[in-house]
Amino acid sequence: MNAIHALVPWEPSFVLAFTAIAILTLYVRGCQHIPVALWQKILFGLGFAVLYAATLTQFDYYAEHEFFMHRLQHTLLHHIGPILIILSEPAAPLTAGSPRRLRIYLRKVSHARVMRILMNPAVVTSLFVGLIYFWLIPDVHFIAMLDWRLYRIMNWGMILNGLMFWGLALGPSYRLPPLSTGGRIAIMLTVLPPQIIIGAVIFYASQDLYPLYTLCGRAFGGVSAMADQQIGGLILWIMGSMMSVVGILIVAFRELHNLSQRSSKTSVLLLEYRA
Amino acid sequence: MRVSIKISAAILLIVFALGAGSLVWMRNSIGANIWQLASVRSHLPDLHFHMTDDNGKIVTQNDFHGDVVLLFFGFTSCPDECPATLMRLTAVLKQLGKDANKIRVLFVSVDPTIDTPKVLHDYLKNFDPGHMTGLIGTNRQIDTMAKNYRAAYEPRSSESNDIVHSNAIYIFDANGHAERIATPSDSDEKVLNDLKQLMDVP
Repeated sequence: MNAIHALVPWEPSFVLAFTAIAILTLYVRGCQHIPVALWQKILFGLGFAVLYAATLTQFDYYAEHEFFMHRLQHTLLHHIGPILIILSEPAAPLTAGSPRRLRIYLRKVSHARVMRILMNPAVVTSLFVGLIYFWLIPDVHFIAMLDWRLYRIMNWGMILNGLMFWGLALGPSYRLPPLSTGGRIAIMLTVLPPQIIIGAVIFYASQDLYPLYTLCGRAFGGVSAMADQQIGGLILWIMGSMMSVVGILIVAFRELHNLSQRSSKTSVLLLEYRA
Repeated sequence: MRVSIKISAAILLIVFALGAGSLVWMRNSIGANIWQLASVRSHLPDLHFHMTDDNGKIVTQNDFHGDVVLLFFGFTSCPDECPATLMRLTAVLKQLGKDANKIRVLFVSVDPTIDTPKVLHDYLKNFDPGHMTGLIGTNRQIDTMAKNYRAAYEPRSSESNDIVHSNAIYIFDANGHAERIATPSDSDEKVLNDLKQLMDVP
């Protein structure tokens, strides 16, 4: 009973639910058309589950009424969920699962000039940091947490920008000249200090920056306003920067793997040549 | 490539301009100096409910049309916060004198198992029954209302006898539009000031 109750959406959103169901359907259909590795399915499933849990379950109640839970929600929406989805390389199964007309439309969109600009590393990276800062400005935060429309826009923005950013940093880059390994590491390094700074500012703040949570009641009675704020600051500070480190490790590991593969290929060629 | 860099730069500029613009707009909507409490104008839904009052009558928002409404959540066996808020509001109403007749305090019970209309009615007699109305609803009705106003609310459960509820006082204008939000830490003067603004009393 309780487990089922936890999965009931706190605030049902038809747009969100429809999008979730549509994407899952496309993915499952795609898996029937083309071979998709098990690890890809697992990563995609995990990423999907993370995004779903953070938006369409009772988790949302706690995210609305506890600052550190809100920060945890954003870490899931902006970092962990998108990273898992991008690492699963979902583009092939999703396109394979799409009806023909949608596929043509998607191709058109991905080739559009706007996409080239939107996916420009400078734009994506600035948006990544800009969105975190913008929604944490105390006055903006106050209104965004009260107004359900702004709240939805905020969370949607986090998911989309997360997919864009981690797509550039970790994805296979279907469009554009793909970002070089150095470029990928550079954008992940760029977003690191701003997250540490804002996390530290919130952690060390001596006043309640976000009185809204006191006002509307905290979900966890035992956590004081300052403790809540400090845990939230730490999540921004540590979790945020940790995700960049994880991303950089993944890219570095891939590069090493490629290098060793290339060198083993060369040595095979050399051996053949000698023989 | 050059062109796309220029366009990207332009887009970045526009994004930041929009960000700065909306910030100024939000500041204005909050901080206009004749007001002293936080503004929620056009951000929270209008007053809307269908509940039982402390006389056992079914009431809706229409029954309070024309009054400035102060709404808050609580329960009669609440140890300190709820009576403290009601005491404060009683004091504020007293300071308003005759103008208090244009104000209605709605005390929404979050404890439907214990708070019957009679219990609520007797409880409010301790404060200012002339300007206060207790509201009782089903669990679902309370849930919906709390959710609409982003008020934390967790009913009594088998594990915990505590009721989690919001301390905020939501203030609506005479047409039922959400206007201001007051906290227990806002001074009586601030509440008084904004109530006068809403009633257009000098």
